[in-house]
Amino acid sequence: MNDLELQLKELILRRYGSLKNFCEIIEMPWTTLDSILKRGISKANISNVLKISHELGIDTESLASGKIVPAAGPDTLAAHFDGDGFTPEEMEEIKKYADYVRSRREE
Amino acid sequence: MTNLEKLEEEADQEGIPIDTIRFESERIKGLYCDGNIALSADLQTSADRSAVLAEELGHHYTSSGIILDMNDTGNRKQELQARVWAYNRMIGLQGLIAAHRHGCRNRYEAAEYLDVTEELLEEAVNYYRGKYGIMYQVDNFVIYFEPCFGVFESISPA
Repeated sequence: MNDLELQLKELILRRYGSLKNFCEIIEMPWTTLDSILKRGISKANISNVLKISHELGIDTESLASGKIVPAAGPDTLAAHFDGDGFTPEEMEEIKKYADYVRSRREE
Repeated sequence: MTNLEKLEEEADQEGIPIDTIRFESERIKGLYCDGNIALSADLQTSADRSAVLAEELGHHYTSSGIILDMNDTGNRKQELQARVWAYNRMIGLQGLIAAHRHGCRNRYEAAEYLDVTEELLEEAVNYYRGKYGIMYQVDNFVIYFEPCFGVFESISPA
């Protein structure tokens, strides 16, 4: 197992307790994750890499290039609001919630 | 079980936390962010809360990306998809027929029977009108969208 994959495994174990728990959450067979960690992220199917990075909240491109970096922002963000556009203050409120979601995920 | 309870149960089963937030801006009713939903604390009624929750769940199932800029055509399309998910989940053509069979005589009664806001019901009917045109038949019921909305039960010849 390479350094990147070892770091990834440690991150998963730290947050989810076991690889099995993590696999259940991302709906991926344990054998697939095991194979990815042993053979390397660079050889993995892109949809599997996306599943892993999305759940962990890490940047997919950085992961593919060998680094574990927190995702710059949310993958999906939508708002139900009255009106046509947001004021800077409203955008700040939305960003605040996105930051809260990210911090909760990292706990 | 009310619509709101059903939606909350669905969110729970999907592992989506629902946060109630007192936003500074009254214009923000709800947010969806990576499998998390925030609902404004200002949403007073169960129908208001379920209308927003349904749309945010619609985003969970149908949206991808940052879709805050409504000047972007792709974002508007995703916003509509989420709303359509909410219309179909909360009302649907079967809901319109059920309201008719229950004896609802106007939009207010239908919204109350379906446990949705009048605004959501009106938006849904407008959407179905755009999709189906003048009328649409479901089993032995005909739903007219033009010239005005109405549901009629067809009578089979003896």
